[in-house]
Formats: sequence, structure tokens, C-alpha cells
Amino acid sequence: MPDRVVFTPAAVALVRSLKPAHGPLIFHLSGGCCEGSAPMCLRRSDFRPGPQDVLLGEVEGCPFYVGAAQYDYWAPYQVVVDVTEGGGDSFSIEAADGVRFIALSQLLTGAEFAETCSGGRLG
Amino acid sequence: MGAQCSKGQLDKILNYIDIGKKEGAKCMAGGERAHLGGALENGFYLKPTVFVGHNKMRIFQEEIFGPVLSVTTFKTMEEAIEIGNDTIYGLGAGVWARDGAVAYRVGRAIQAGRVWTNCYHIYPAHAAFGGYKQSGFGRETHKMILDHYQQTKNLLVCYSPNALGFFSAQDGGRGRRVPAPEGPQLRQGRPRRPPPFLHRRTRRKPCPIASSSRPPPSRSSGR
Repeated sequence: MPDRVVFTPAAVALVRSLKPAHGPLIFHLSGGCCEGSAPMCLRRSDFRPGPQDVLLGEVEGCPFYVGAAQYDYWAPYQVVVDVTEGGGDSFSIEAADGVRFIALSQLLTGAEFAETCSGGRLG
Repeated sequence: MGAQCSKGQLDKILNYIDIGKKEGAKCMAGGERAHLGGALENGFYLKPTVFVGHNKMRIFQEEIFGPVLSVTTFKTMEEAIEIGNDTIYGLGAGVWARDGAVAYRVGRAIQAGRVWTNCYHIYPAHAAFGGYKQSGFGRETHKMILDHYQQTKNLLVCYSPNALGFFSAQDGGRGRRVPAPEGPQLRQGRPRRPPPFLHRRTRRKPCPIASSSRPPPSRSSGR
């Protein structure tokens, strides 16, 4: 079954550099308004996922959640997390370091999509 | 058109443009970075973009926050309303109609906090602004929201100088001194003679349509 969320090598390196400084981390892609199309990286203790959040996968030991409201629209895609420059004003932890996680969407092939459907929702 | 506020935002919008093309939407204008040359060459500029597709596409359902417009068609007013309401958001909507009845009906059927009718994107003072559904809670720029910043205080004040009973003032709250009932108390703890004003309040007037089978109320009932 294909991974629903993958991190690019640059994103993995960034997570590895953030963990010693901030401890266990959690990712949340709300899909809501404003900054909702970018994943938020927060300390695990700072965010409690609720019944409207779907666990998409785990990366470097950090759970990755997405909001349920638009989950069905994302179902045919794999979320690819990359890093871009220019942190900006954000609640996400890495923004203070002048970088930002972004979520790109990779279309799953027909066979891959069928596999994820039969696997059902995680979490 | 001005630049995007950050590289991250530029990348997000370019990603949505890419998603739109993958979903099969037709790009009618723009769809790429704008290269303005010279000192502005590395600026976060995008060409205004227009897609044509249908409402179940991600570029229609998600907030791109960039100069990307997604357009679809409809055949009837009912279909337009259905498409307009098929979203988790509901902040602003716009209706253009020459027919007053259409403007009336569509404006009321759309699930949005602001429906611009034959205009768009104006924010006059004291026009309540806020969202339906997942677009937010409460309203701005209208005094109605002051309610959320205040709480009601009820001051219930008795100005009588007399002692008060726990359930009601013994003087009825009117400031008159009432003598305590004299004499032995009747059975069931009721005073022999109730205070004059209570007596006035509880004495039953004879029913004007009294039937012969119903006896008149007796005075010794003690009420």
C-alpha cells in the first residue's frame, strides 16, 4: 500500500533538526482557510487531535494528521511535504528559523488509489 | 498585479495550479509565474489565472489564496444555488441578476454570511460581516457583536427599610409596616387573620356565571 504522506529528503532533514530542540512533534494539515493548505508543525503537547482529524501516517516518529472536512477530496492524492524558504508569520515551529513546510499533492495511480481505498481510513 | 507575500505562498498557489491541471480543469488564462524582468525578476509574481471545471474539483473546494479563479456553468437557478452551497465554507457570496425575484431568492438561499448582490467585495461600515459553516463564528463591523464582549448583570434591589422574609417581603415590598398576626394560630399553622393586603389578594370573587350545582366558596376555608 502506498504511503499517504511522504517527506522529501530536505523535509526529513528539517524534522531531524527540529526534534532535539523542541522534543516530540506532530503535524497537522487542516485544509481550512488562510494557512490551512500548509502543514503545521507543532510540539506534540501543543496540539490534541480530535474526532475531525484523520491520521494519514507517521514520519520520523511524528504523526501526520489531516482535517476530515475535505479528506475525501484529497483521497486520490499522496501528500508530499517539502521545504521552502521564507518562514514568514506562522504558528508552525520551523517558521522562526526562516523556512516553511509545504504540502504538495502527487496524484496516485489508479492501482495505488484502489489500494488506499480498500485499506480504508487510518486512525 | 502585486506579488505574493512569501515564497511559501507562491509555491502553494503553483501547487494548486498544478492540481487543477491534473484534475482536468482547463486553464484559460495565466497558470504560471509572471516574469517581470529587471529588478523584479525574482519577485513572487503570478499571472492571474482562470480555470474552467466543475465544483467537485479541489481547486473549487479548497482555499487557494492566490489570483486563481475557478469557473463552472449551470443551467437553472436551482442548480446554481445547489452548486453555490456545496462547500464547507460560507463567508462571502456574490449574485448578479437583472430579475429582482432571482436576486431575492438566490440571496436568501445561499448559505453565506455576506451575499453581495449586483456588486462585489465592498465593506461598508455597520454591515455585519462573518461566516456560515466552517467560515467562522460571530460577526464583525456591527454592534450586534458587542453582545459577545459583555455579559448581562441584573441588579435586583429592595429599597424597603423593613426586615425581609426569605420568600417575599412581609410588606409586599411596598414599604408599609404590617403588624404581626395576633391571637392563637389556627391548625395547620395558618394565622387566624391574614394581613389585610393578602386577604384582598386571595379573596375569591363570586363567579358571574355560577351554576346552581356549585356551592359558593366558604369564608372559613382559611385562605
